[in-house]
Amino acid sequence: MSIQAKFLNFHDKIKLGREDDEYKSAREKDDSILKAVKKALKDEGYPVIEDFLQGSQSTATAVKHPADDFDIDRSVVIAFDDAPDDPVKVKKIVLKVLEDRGFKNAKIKTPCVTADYSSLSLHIDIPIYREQNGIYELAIGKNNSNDENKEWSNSDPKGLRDWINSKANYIGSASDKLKQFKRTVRYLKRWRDVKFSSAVVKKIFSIGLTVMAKEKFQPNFDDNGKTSDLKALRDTISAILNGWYFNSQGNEQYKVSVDLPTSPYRDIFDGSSVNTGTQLYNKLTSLKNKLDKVIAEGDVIKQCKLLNEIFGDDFEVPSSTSNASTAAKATYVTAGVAGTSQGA
Amino acid sequence: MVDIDELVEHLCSRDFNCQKSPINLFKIISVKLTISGKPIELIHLLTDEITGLPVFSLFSPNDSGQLAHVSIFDFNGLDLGSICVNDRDSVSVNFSMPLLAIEESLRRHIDILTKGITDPEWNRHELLREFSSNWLGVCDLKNKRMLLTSASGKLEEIDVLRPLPNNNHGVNSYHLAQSQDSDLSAIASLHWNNNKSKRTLAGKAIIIPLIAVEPAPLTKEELKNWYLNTLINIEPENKQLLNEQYGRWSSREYWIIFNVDVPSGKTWFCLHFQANKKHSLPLTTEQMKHWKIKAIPLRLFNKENVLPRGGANLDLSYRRVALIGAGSVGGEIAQKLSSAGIQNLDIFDPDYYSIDNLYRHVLPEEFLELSKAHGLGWQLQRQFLWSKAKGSSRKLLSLRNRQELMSYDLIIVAIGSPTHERLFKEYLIENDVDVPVINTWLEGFGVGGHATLDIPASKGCLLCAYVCQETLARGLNSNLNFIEANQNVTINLAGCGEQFISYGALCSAQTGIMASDLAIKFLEEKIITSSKVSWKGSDYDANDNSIQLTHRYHQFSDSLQIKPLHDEDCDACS
Ligand SMILES: [Zn+2]
Repeated sequence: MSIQAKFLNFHDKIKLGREDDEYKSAREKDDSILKAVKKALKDEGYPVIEDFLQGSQSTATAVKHPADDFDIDRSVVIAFDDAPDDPVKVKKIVLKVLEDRGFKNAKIKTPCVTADYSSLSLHIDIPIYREQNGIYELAIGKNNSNDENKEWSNSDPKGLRDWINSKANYIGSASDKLKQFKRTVRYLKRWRDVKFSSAVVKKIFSIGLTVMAKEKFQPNFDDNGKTSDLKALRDTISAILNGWYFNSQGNEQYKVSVDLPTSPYRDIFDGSSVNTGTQLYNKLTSLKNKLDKVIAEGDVIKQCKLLNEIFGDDFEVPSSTSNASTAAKATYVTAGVAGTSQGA
Repeated sequence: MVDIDELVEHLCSRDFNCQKSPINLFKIISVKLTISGKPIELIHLLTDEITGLPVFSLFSPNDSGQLAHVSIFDFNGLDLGSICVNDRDSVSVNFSMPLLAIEESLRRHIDILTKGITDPEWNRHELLREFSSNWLGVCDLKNKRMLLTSASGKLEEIDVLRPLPNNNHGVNSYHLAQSQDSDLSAIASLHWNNNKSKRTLAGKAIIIPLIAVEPAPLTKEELKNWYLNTLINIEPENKQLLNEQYGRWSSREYWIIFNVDVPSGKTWFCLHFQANKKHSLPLTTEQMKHWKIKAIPLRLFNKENVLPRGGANLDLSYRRVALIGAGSVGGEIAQKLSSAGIQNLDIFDPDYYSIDNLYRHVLPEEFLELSKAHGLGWQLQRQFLWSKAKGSSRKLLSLRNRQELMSYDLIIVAIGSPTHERLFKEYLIENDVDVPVINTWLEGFGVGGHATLDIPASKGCLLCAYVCQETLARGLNSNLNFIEANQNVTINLAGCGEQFISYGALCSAQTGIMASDLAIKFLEEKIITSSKVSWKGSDYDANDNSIQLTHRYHQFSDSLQIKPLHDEDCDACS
């Protein structure tokens, strides 16, 4: 079995998809909240015309983390013509729904309404938009904000998601390359969760890793179309390190800066410390060097051992007694039928 | 045209004794020299344009004795010696510098003559090596040619049949000497009309093997003596048989067909004897008095002689090959394998040949409405006279019969159906059928074609070519494909059941040739491990039709190169 097979096993273990069992109760909660929010807004004269997910759930780049909450970014959209002038008015309606349904720490933040459901480790953010002709405006403002700080602010909620999901730059087998990119993001996230202290993990934003990886992604398929996530990851990290994200502060100290690729184009790491930047730079460099070692290693078991040190125990090391390449069980693709171009 | 005076001056300046012909009508120059004390004169007729190696002829060739690479021809009643410098087409001549070209050619002519005159041993060896072309020099070319369909060359008396009347081309225009053990295909024999009711008996031919031979005679006048001398080289045993059994039959016509080993291989040549009255075969000077002797052109028509001329390999004649699929790719494969010398070819296809197939299939129009497989078998036997190709209307899945499959050296599947091909492969695995299999297919829009060779005794199998490269599971489409799965690649001209994948005859042919090459290399044991091979075409048509191509297509640069098939993630192989 190839090292790629081991990477795919690892990916299966760490990936968190919305349809996964682990997610089931959180997902059900989300669904029921959404229903209640829709009803409440409708009753008040602001029918929801659209809702969608944002964040890693919307780009299939979420990873499992035992200590952290499931994050759900659930956007709801009302029609421009129905919307009240005061954006906080609709946020209050949503807040009430969350409070009534037993959420903790429900509050109105500047960009959204947020709450926790601790028994399910669920953290939910609900941004509210109004929309007209494809133009979205986000409801900005807190409960006690004065009028200057409350506004419907021009926004591009789907732009980032679409940018991450775009395969326009991949030539040949584009869907497979996008999938490899998403696996690469998940590997980076799991690596971050394992290699940094929990205080620093929170400062290395997932969206920051995702944007860097997307901008610098180096798909790796050999000439036969065979994927190598190992090489893709290594090459992508190398490109990130050379990609002007790390600004030297002298003395081998760095600040990290990554601009959002879509509106509002702000620096994701705005205000991030030299410590965070330096740690990220040094650990990425060390990760790249370790991956080089893995690539140079010919034995699959030894490769797995090195990768286990990088990614933790979800990257399994086959025991040498049960040989790494013993009879594999036949597995089948999950499609029932595939269209084919084969003829004779 | 080069100026004759300039040429003479040039050659003289290079120390040649060169003169121009006194007759101005011909632009001829003559060069005189001596080789080993022998005077030699070479002449050259200037040409309007230099299109090949300039030719020099030997004047009075008979004065120089028999020289290798010199043959005598008649030029306006004058005997001249034509000198074969080498294959004239295999040199590239500097026609922009005619003086240099003529000078260089002259030197080459002189070199050849020098070699023949100064090295008698080499001269004799060369004369024997080129025996058959020299023999043509004394042959009576006006005579009807003789086709001989015997293989062994042993002493044998056979009937000679006359050509069919009014046949001026094709094998029916030849005299035919056919021995009883002919192995021509049934259809070919039928086609040849070689039954006696149509061809009339002309006389008897005797095949005589020789143990040695002298160089061919230079002139027709020498033939009689040359023949009598040649009889010395008959093995005593055969000589006795000849005297006692053969040649006793009295006739006005006889043919003798000799065969002998010369340095270039076995050579065959034929003499024709004609008398006013019936006589037995002339074997002595005395008997010879009654006969007129002529050398006539002979074409040996047996596998050993005919097949290698097309690059066919006789070793392949014993291999058994099953070809499933007689479509445009399969048809091409059948044709190419037959021309390579595969004789035992069983072709399976349930389809009938229709007008829609005409422009992308090897079969001609008269096979319309006939089963493609049978049509191909018939056609192959006709074209490749030793072919034993047979057609059958069975399809791939009905061939799941271990015993039958095990009788083949190679199975070639050219049906373009991944479902059936994978089902068949599973049958082979489950039933332990270890016959090597080639699967071949092409893709639409001219992007390319593929072939895999699955040798069960080696690493790598068909399913290696179906490992989904994204999930590493068993996939439904080959990972060799250049077109991404799940796109509409069919063109629908006339409703359901009439869809077809858009590909042209060239692409089928390309794919068929590639698969045939793989098959032949395998059968010749040049490939001993499971392999794959693809060719990549252009993406114009795919782009025009918004067809998405795979990474492999974009990266691929190994067209027609045979690569290992094994994929380490193939469960069937581990
Ligand atoms: Zn295999």
